Amino acid sequence: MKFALQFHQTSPQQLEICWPDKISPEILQEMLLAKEVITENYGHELRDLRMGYHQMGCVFKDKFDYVQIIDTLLQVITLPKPKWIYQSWTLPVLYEGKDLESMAHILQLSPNEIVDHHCQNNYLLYFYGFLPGFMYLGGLPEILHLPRKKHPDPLIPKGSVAIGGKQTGVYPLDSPGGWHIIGKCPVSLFRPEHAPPVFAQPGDRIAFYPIQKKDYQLIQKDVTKGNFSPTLVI
Amino acid sequence: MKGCQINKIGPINSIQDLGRKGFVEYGVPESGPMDLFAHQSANHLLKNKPTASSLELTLCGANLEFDKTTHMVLTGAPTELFINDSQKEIYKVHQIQAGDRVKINAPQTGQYLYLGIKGGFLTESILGSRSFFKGITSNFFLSKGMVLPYRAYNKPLQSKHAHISSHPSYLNQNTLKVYPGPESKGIDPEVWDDLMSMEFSVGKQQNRMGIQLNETLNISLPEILSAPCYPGTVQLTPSGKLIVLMRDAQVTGGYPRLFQLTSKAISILCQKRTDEKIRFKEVSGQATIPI
Repeated sequence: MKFALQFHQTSPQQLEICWPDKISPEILQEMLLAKEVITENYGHELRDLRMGYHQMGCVFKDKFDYVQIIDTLLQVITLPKPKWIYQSWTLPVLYEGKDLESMAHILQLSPNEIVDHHCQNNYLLYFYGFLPGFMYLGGLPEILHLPRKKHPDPLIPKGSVAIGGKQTGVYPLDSPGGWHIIGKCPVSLFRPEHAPPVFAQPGDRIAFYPIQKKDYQLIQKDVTKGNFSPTLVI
Repeated sequence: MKGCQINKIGPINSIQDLGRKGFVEYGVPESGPMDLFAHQSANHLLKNKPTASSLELTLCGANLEFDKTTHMVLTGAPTELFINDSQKEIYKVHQIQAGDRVKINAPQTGQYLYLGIKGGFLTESILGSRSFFKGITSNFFLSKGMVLPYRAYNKPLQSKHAHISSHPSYLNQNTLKVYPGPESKGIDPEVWDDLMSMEFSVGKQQNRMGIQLNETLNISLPEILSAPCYPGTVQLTPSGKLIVLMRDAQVTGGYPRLFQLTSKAISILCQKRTDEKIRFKEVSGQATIPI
C-alpha cells in the first residue's frame, strides 16, 4: 500500500474509505483495486459503492463488520499492484460551442488552438457523478484551465462539451451548468435502456477528435439508428 | 391494459418505488419516495410486495378514475379522501370498482401523500425502477390525461387488515437524528454543541433533490474534491447555508458533508413546510474508525 488510508463510519450501514486529499491516477488505481476487493469479498452484503476523487463510499445492506473489511482491504493492497487494465475510447466533437470565441479571448488563444489543446490529451475517467453518465475527467492541459462562469446557464443542451475550472466533460443530459461550452458530441453517453447505461468504466481513457458539421449529422443519424458507438482504441 | 386515468393533478408529482440502487456508480441518483415511511406504510397496509410503486403527490390533491377493481390506500400527510363523493379514511384500505372516481384534497398540513393500489402502478421500469427521473423515464411529472396501468385485483377486502394510525407520530416530530458527516471533524466541539441545540427552519428552496434551511451559519469549512453523497447528507455551502440532500440528489458533491440523516429523519423533514422548525440530534455510536 502506497497511501495512508482513513476510515469513517458515517452510519451503521455506511463506510467511507479516504485516500489522501488530491486528484492522482495512482490513487484512482488503488481505489479501483479496493473496489474490486470489496465487491468480490462482500458483494452480497453490499448495497452500493460510489466513488469521488479520493473517497469511496460503501453502503451495506445491514450492519457490517468493519474490522474484517478493513483487514481484508489492507492485506490485499499491500501486495504488488497488478497491471492496470483499461480501455481507451475516442469521441467525435464538433467544436462550434457558443463559448468558444469568448473563451479564446480570455485565454488569449485562437479557437483552433483551444481545439488542438483539447484534442491532444488522453483524459482519465475518475468516476461518474453530477448527472447520470457525467464523466469526471482528469488531464485537462493547464493552458485551458478557466474558472466556471459566475452565472450558470439555465440550460446546457445534451451532448455539450465544456470546460470548467481544471476539468472538461460532456453533458449527457440537458442540465443547468456553469461550464464554458466549446463544442458538441453526437454520441449518447448515457443510454438508460442499456445495461450498463454507459460505455466507459472508471480507469478508462477518453480522447476527443474534431469533426465537421456534415460528419456530425451523419454520426447523429447513425446514433439514432443505434449504429454508432464511440471508437475503442486497441 | 388501460388503467387509472388522471383527471386533475398538480405540477410536480410522480410515480415512486424503492428507487435505483445498482446504478449510482454511473451517476444515476437513487430516487424513491420522499417520505419512504409513508410509501412503505401504503404497501404494508395493502399487503403488497415492498417493491410495488405508489403515486406521490406534492402539496396538492388529485382526481382519478379507475377502470378495474382493486384496493387502494392513501398515506402520508393528513388530508381528505373521497370515493364517488363519499368521504373515506386515510391509512385504511378501500375497495375500488371499475368506474370509481377518487378525489384527494390537498394536504392540510405536511407536504407529501402516497396513493397505493394492490400490486402498484405498472408504469415503465428503467434501470430497475419505476421512479420518475428526467433523462431516465420518458415522463418525469404526472399530468392530466395520463393513464397509469395496473392489474385488476378481484378479491374482496379482508376484514382484518394491518393497522397503522391515521396520524403517525413522526408527522409531529421535529427532531432529526443525524450521524456526524465525514467533514464534521473540522468543527470545534463547542460549535458542534451549538449546532445540536440550535433551531433551524425549512427554506423556500426545496424539491426532490434537496431542501435548503433558512439560517446562515457563521462557520466555514474548505470545499472538498467531489465526494460521495446520499439522500440525507447535509452539506455546508460556502455562504453558510445548510442544504439537506433528498431522494433525487446527485451521487457526488463538492460541499463539505456535516451530517447524515437517518431514513426516518428524511421522512420527518420532507413533510415540513417552508418556515417550519426542526432540530438536529446526534446519534452516538459511530465515529472515525481508529486503525
